[in-house]
Amino acid sequence: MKASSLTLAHYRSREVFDLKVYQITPIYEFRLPVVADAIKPELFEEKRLSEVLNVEVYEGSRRKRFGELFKVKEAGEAEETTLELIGDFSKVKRVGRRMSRGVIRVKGAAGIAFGEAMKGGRIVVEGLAGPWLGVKMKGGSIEVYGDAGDFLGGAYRGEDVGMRGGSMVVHGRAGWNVGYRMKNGLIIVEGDVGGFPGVHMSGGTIYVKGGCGKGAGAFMKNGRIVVLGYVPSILASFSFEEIRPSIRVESERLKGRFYMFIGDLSEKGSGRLFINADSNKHLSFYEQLIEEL
Amino acid sequence: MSGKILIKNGFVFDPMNGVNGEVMDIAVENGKIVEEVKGADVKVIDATGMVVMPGGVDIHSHIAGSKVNSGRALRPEDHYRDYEPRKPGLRSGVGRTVPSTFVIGYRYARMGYTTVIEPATPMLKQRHTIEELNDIPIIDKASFPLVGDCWFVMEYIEKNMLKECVAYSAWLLKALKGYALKIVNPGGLESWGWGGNVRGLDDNIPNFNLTPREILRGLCKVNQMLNIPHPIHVHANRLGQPGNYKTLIDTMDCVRDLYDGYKPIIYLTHCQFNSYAGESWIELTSGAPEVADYVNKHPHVVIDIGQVIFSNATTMTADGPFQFQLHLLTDYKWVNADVECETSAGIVPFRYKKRNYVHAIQWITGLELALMIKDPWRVFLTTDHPNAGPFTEYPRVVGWLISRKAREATMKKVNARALKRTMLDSIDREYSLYEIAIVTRAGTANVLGLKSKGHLGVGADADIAIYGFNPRNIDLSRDYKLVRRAFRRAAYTIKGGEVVCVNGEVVKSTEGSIFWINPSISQDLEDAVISDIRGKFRDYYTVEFDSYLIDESLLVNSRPLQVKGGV
Amino acid sequence: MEVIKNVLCPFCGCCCDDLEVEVDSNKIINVRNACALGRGKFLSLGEHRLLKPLVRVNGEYVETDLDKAIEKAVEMVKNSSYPVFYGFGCTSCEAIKLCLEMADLSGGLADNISVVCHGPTILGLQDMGIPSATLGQVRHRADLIIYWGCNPVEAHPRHMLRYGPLSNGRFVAGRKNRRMVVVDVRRTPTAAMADVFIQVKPNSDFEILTALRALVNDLDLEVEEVGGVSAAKLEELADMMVNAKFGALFFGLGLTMSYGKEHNIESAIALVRDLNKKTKFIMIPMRGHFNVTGANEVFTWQTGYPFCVDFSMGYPRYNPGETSAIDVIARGDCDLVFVVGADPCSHLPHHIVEKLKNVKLIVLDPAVTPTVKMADVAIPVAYVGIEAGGTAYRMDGVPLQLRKVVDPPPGILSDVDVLNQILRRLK
Repeated sequence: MKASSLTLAHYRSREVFDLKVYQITPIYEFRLPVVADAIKPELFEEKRLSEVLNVEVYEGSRRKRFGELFKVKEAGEAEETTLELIGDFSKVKRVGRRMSRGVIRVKGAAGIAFGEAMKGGRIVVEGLAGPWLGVKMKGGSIEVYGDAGDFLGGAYRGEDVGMRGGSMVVHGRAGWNVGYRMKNGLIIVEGDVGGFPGVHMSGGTIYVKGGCGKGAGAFMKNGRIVVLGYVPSILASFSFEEIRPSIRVESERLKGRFYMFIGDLSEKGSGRLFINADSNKHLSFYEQLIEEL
Repeated sequence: MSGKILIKNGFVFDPMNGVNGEVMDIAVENGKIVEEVKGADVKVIDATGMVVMPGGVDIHSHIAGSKVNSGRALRPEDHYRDYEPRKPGLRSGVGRTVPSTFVIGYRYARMGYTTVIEPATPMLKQRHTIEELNDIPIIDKASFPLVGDCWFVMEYIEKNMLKECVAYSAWLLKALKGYALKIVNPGGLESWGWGGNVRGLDDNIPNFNLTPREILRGLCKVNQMLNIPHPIHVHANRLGQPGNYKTLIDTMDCVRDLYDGYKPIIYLTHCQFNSYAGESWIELTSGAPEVADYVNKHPHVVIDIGQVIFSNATTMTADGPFQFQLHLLTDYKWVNADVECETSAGIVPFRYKKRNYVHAIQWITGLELALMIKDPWRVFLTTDHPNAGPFTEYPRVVGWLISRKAREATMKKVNARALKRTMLDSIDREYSLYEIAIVTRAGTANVLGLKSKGHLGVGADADIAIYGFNPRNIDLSRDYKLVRRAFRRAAYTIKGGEVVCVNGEVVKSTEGSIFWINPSISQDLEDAVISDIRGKFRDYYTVEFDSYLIDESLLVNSRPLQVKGGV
Repeated sequence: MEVIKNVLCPFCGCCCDDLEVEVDSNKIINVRNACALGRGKFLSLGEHRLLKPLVRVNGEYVETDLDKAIEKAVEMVKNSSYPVFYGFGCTSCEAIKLCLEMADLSGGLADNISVVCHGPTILGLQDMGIPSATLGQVRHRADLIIYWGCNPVEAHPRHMLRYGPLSNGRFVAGRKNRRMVVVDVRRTPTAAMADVFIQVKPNSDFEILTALRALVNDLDLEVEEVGGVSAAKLEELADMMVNAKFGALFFGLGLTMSYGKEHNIESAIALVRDLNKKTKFIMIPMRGHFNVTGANEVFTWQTGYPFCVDFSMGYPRYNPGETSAIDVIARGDCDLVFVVGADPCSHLPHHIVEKLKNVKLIVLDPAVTPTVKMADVAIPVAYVGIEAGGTAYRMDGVPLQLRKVVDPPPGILSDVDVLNQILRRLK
């Protein structure tokens, strides 16, 4: 695009198409873990490519330069700075940490803690995502086509609060402790999740279209958990409130009977657990509690 | 090391020897301060335009032992964002409010501190305390065993067997390598063994025919009879409760008649936490004026303030019942760690906020104590690390003491209602550098009885701090930020005659020593009491008598102080 | 013949220190006061002994001398880009400190056997805290003792006698003045001694603890049964707990390693914590090995974290699941594993032991263990607590002194001596 006219319109359109797509490929197969937490879209906007290649990464205990481990190729332009991670990134950690804009598209598998504390922008993982994806997320969005690991949108041990904002969608399954210590934001998993979704939650929404393991909402203080699939049991510290004919999750209205539970009462919590009645006939005995009232 | 150092031309503040900012040379050889040094191998440090003081002596800071370590384990989140990478000759580690051992030594050295006391160690776990103290580099240390609610002590006092109690105390200091007798919430800890507490000096302690007042008086007498250099070190009953200033004054007063006119006989620690007026949290206000008035009129008392810093903190004390109450108030995670036959401990993370009315009152109370008590030799600067704030914030407290402007800058952001209900805003007093030197090193060393510390006279240990600011060219009050920065990063720290820190960076890691009291008393009495203890030991403890003892060889560098007991 | 008293038993987390060992001409003849486990260790010192350093050359084991073995180990650590230092359940704190220094220096990972044992307890207390005490508090005061998911009769044989229901305390003496409750998935020998045995469905401890906690907090149960236990039985247990003057909960791998893992412990902690609003209650984990607690303590004070410590970026980092030795080995992330005071090839899950075939393995051990048989370098060392002294920590955090009662076989040093030599050469 040639820089010519000085009118505002031209200036704006110049900016929009000045952002680039970068293809990043591992130069060799990684055996040791690689920590690449400086790699995020804005890095490529703020620094020249030659400087980016000098950015520090760790391979095991050895400090190296980004360019020693990865090849970067400019591959066209886009509305937002886009990093395409092509190859096996399952041993690479923390790409997209604290990013605030731009796009990271992982063509294969993503490693541990991608998108840690991200504030904005988008991460798309086409393969499997490792544990702690979007840990402590503040904003932006994450999408996973495959399965995600444990602690999706979670926190690190001992911290008060995990995810505070933003949204994520996993088209596959997710592991244990989805939304651990979540305070705000939205997590959607289309497949099954493991045990303890929403454990220690204090706000936000977790929407599981599949089933989940035991312990949903344990220690919850606030927030909402919706499960469409099979739930083995409900914790005794949750109280059955009512049956809802439908509920609203974001802009979707879900039809079908939902058992609504409030808890975790041992934490004086007022979180809400919505369980689809049709997938959970073994929980129908709760309906008798309404009759008893 | 035989290193010879000559510190030339600095403004020396050495209150124990009456030196108030004179320009003097300080000479060091073989780890001690000497009259002069000569020769081509003298390292000359040009301290022109800089302040030279004895190395800091911190009299009360929780740096080692079981509850400190539980605090570290409890709070990984405390460490994630504050860490020190390894460097040649230096180990890596973490902060922030409960730092790892290597980092503690490095960070104290950076501020020019060279001696730190661990003020509360459970006797049954003393080996743990010694192991951690061994792993703290550079600084010298000592520890105070917790004795107030120890069954042996309580039984001896109950039966008025004071001589035997003296012999027991002598034995425990020697056997455990302790430095002084520590008392926390007397009677409250044994009560906490059943989930209870005491509410005042004359409460009955369950299953013992004893009151807290009797424990305090008994141990005060024991301390005097044994000639232990440091007075009984007391964390008073009813800590952290509105209206507790009365209990604090009662505690100070309960031994008044035992004063011999010679030196203080009771040390009350982190008094800020015990100086609250008002009957409830809503009515909470500072009781510091009343406490200060008492301390001013009664030379038998010496205190430290326990100043609040508006930051993260980790509360950890042997006051088990108090810590549980704090957990109930805040809902923060809580560790409890009772120790059989002796004491308890509790840990709860905390955060002091400027806009919070109660925290603001707490902040005000500490400063009021420091500013209203006239004798700097009897009121010391601490933050009861990490209870009221991390030790790395001592320079901030120095700033508040030397400068009303510094206080105003903070007062502007602090809860206004708290300011209206207290006196701090009307206090103009500003500490001089001489007074700062007293409350952070000379005074503390003096009341500890550490004769080789806290001063720069010939024969003292060569523990020296040089701070990079010129007291003649600046106005302490106006330029408090400069002074604060200088205290954060010492221009030089010398420990035992070795330069360990330059411009706030640790340049050498050394091994500090552990001081302890080795009292000698009548052999017959000692034998009788040890025989008594040994006979009861299996009934009381779940370990053998011999497992309780700490051999001197366990200490990396042992520095016993011989004391002749009066029995 | 000599009788050495006040010997600390180097077997389980009870750390009984009242053992008396009869020694004659450097041989242990008899051990008094020990249980069968401890006694067995003292009297079987000579069995399966590793007597000479071994180095694997072209797939074959070759005996070598200590100096060459140490040289080879040093070379392997120096060439490693991500070494893992693991073990530390069966050695002294002094040895653990040396390995932490090595890990710090080499940018490796340091982890201990908590990671397959009470690791979930550590995770739980980092979320919730823990109301605990030393064992003597239980002996002196407890009128209610609960063993949950553990079997002391077989795993900690003298526990009940020294610290538990059979002990005599100042305020509570003997079995008849205490109530003992056992909660387990099967009727163990310990359960046979209980006043109340509650059999739970496997993997349902979290729900049961949650229900108990709800009852203790005066909430009603909306179900008739939880985890195979009737609501009535749960109410009975909740009442016992609330009405106790001093309650103690001991818990083991039944809670840490069943469904829920650290959440089980969080639930137990929350329950005991809430009980403290009504009465006095504490909990103590039944640690398996005699110094795994010491490993946690040393790790914590030197690095800030009790296990799973990664030094690869130059300072201690902690994220169990990412920086835990088993996960690092499982992902094939490391190139060297250095084992001291443990036998991972016997105790780690099989699919992880398979991964050890692809890494270099250095082991210090007194015996020929399966780990020694997989090692590239195996160096014989003394049995800590019998042939070498040091410090160890009991399950309740009480530090004690290990004793040396006999000399190790000729030519065999303590692991502290060997590690010192390795560390010196690494620096």
